[in-house]
Amino acid sequence: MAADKVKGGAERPRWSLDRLVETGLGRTLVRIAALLALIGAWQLAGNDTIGLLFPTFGRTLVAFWGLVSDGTLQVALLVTNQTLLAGIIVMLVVGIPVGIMTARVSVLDRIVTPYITFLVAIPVIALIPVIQAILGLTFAARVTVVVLFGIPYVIINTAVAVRRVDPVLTEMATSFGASRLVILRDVVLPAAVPGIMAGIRIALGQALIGMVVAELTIVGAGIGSLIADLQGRFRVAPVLAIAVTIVLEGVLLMTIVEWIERRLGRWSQS
Amino acid sequence: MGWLSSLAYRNGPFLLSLAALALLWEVVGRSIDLITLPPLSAVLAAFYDLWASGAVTAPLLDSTLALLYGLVLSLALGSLIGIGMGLSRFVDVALGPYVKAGLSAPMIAFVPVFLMIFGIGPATRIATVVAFSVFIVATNAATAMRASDPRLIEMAHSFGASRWAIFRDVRLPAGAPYFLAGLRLGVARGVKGLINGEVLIAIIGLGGLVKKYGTVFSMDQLYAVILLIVVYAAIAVGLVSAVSRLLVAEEK
Amino acid sequence: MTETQAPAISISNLTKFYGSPKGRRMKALENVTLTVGRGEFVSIIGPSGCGKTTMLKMVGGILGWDEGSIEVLGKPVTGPGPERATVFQSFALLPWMTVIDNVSFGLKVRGMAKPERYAVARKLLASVGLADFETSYPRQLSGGMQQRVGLARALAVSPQLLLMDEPFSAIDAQTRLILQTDLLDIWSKTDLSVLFITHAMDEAVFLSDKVVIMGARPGHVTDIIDVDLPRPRTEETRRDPRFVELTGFVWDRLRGMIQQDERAA
Ligand SMILES: Nc1ncnc2c1ncn2[C@@H]1O[C@H](COP(=O)(O)OP(=O)(O)OP(=O)(O)O)[C@@H](O)[C@H]1O
Ligand SMILES: [Mg+2]
Repeated sequence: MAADKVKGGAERPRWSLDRLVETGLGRTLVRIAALLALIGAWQLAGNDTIGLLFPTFGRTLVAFWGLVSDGTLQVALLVTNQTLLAGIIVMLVVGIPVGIMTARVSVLDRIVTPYITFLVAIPVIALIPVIQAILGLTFAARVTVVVLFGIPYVIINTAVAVRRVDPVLTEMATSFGASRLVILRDVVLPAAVPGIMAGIRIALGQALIGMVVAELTIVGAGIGSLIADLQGRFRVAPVLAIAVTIVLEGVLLMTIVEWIERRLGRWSQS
Repeated sequence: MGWLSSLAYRNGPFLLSLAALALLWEVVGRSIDLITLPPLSAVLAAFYDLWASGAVTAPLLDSTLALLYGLVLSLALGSLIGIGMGLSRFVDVALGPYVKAGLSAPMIAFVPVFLMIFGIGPATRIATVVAFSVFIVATNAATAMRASDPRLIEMAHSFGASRWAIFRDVRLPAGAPYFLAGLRLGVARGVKGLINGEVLIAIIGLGGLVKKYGTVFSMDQLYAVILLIVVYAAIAVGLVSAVSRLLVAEEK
Repeated sequence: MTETQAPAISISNLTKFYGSPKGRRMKALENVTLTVGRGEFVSIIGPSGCGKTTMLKMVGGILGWDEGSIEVLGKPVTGPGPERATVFQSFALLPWMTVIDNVSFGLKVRGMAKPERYAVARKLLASVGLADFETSYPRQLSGGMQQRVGLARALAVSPQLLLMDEPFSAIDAQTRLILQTDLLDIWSKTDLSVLFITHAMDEAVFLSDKVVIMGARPGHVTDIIDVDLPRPRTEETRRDPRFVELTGFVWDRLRGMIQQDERAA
């Protein structure tokens, strides 16, 4: 204790393992080791003896290869991602203008915002039977699900970002005689970009959930039907392989959006 | 009556639009015989029946129990991981990427796997709740551990405080708000996970009711269940918010 | 200056109310009368909240008023105009634009094509000593340099009247002295009229032909002091006994008001 105090009143004591991750190389090695440990644990925890047990990593990998080698998984993912893409496009094309308008028109704000808050608070999946009753087992129904999952976050974050724009900047533009439209285009929107991007990132996470939910409930030709088919034949390993693939796709898409977010928001980090 | 007029000013447009929607719903529901749109009064009647007949009591209890088990598990597991990440750079580097991925990736994709392995029992729903809430609890626990002012920790060190004493007297109080925020978000996500899991499993609990009434196009009962779920989610989240506000207020 | 020319700014009997959220009205300015002659440099100084910013915004045409009139170059103010330009306390630079795009922002709003507005902007950047920073972003510059960009942006639209709201108050004390002499340097080469708001007494006296002292609750003019220090003003001016005397006089007037305010609060 006493020696400790003498050594460094100011320096915090650290666990020796923390020294490992002080360099970039150390961090990379630790990450690789963690991945290997995870795979090892998975392999050990898995049990391939009977059909409906948690499959090992090896068997899941084999199942994955089985799905990929005949193109089944690729086709299913392609179909499923069409839903996601359409949903995201609708989300942005509708959500961003609505967000801007709610920020600028106070009556609209007071009407729209409670409904959006409601949509955030409730599990959207509960609305699926209604969507299905109205739109049937269609592409449009699945896209609607994706949109409902994500759009509240686009609207809310856009509105907040637009409202938070420094009033001094709009005052400055006004003093140079800029019209409302020019101020919106040249000042408000660029200033709101980082906030809007943050909203898009959150909405993408939700839209991915919506995509899976839509696939599993309003089954079409995508991964939903593939999973249903495999479930019917009690084959866990390929279902797990599909689940991991979707999660990895999610991680990839989120990483891309985060990268775009950082690029567009570089000026806002001081 | 100042508060009344300010309430009318703030919420007037929303309440008006809500009333207009309700009226429209009732009128259209009555005049056009759409199965998808029973009149609002029928839905409210079904809601009352559902409640009075006790048809929802068992599913409600069932769901709540699964939610509680899941949340307790998430809290224990998430805190453990998060505290480890917050206190040690090593743990942070090793586990951080997985926690971050789990936070934003569609964990719901694992529900079919849970269903096949655990069957339709409570374990599937508990696993779903955990998958939805554990990462946010961990993230906030890690933030909570890093929230304390390093100068305070140095000060405590200089007085010879032990690691545990520093944890209890410096890190925990400073981190409490973040911790509670994680809990609140965890409950919000957990409720969604629960309902998602139940609808996908399609047999049990509140979500099971959605599927049951949805497939037979018993729309007034379906809307009544949706209403129930909305109220349920709002109460669960509201309860945790209220409790955490109390706790944080006491801290100060 | 010929007799027939209207003054740069002529404010008479100006009164302004702000509506509070509770619906009550707060009188921000009462019966303010003030003239800024052509080519004149006039400072306004007064306790916090006495309505200096409010008045500048009204002259700038981005805020309305309740009673009285404001004329700029003989014409009543109805909105912002090309003959006025403002320099802001917090610089108000657009952080996602480079320095040259910021400087040419006013010209872009007026519809000037890119090559022309860049040519103008380059000239002004050179005149404020930032020729090498065209492609920098505001956050890469120090506070003093950022305000030079703000000044260049205002000058780029070739205004006849410069409105400055505490432009140097967010800048460190030494840089501030340099900016003051640079501003006078630029001003003396043009026929600009300047309305300059500040909290610093030495700054007001050093820069101005006239110092207007305002009181609060509601905002009103208490004194107008003619600064009879010779121009060009240099570092010597700051040591001139007359400079010290005038600064002391302004402080005496302000101190009384501020002490009264503190007793009331
Ligand atoms: N938009 C507004 N709505 C209501 N009241 C306002 C508004 N803007 C300013 N005020 C009030 O009007 C008074 C004058 O404000 P103003 O900003 O013009 O003062 P100032 O002299 O510039 O103060 P400072 O020296 O702090 O910059 C203050 O009491 C202020 O609270
Ligand atoms: Mg001011």
